[in-house]
Amino acid sequence: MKIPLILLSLTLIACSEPRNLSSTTVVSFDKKIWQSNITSRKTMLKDFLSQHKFSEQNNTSIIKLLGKPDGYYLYDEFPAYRLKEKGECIVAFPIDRKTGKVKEVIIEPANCIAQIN
Amino acid sequence: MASSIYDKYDHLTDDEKSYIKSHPHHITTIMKSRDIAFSETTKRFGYNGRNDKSDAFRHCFWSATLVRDIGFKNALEFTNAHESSPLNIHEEKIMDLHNIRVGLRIGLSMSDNKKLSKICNDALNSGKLKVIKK
Repeated sequence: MKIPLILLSLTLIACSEPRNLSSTTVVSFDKKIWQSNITSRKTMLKDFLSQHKFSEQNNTSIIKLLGKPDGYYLYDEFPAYRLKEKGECIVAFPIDRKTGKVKEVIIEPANCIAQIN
Repeated sequence: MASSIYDKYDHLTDDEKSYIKSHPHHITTIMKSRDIAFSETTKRFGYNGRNDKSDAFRHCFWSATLVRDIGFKNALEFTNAHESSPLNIHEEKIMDLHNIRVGLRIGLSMSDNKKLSKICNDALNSGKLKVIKK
């Protein structure tokens, strides 16, 4: 019984949203607002991630859903979006180069959403 | 950027991993130089953007510090490896490689970070760096 429980926990961890989003106010995702208003993104991110399973997305689908990336995370091919007008706070979708799928969702720096709230 | 070297290693391109395998003693310097380039860009522009002036500056400054810290030949090899992903969009790759080349030459001055940052910023303001998003 221990092994299935461990596997279940790992699955839940792997599929869940980034931990640093848990205390954010949630607003329904709206692509137009996402693209036109950087400061509103933090509140829509949770809803976006609940609508679109990140592990099923790739670079093209993320850009189709969120628009042209305007942030930077390690490589240009990893779509990244700024969550703050000034100062560092981005959400990034690193791509697994073997599968072409989004590997994880990263908020960088990790505590930046809490600082915006 | 707060992620550890181990988190970042996982994201490296195959060519970067191959470089690191043959130059393992450079990994800390390379990762640290990325972080410094990232924070220097934030200091100058307020954020790290994409295809814009901040992006051009970051690539220039990063490659300049690499030349000073690991030598011209190694910096050229590693920065080429960094841009080697087939997923990299052609137009963006051209911009990045151009700005890296400018940075590599600037790095030959072996100056400190403050001076390298100023020279790259001057290069940007005088139109020597490529920018897609004006």
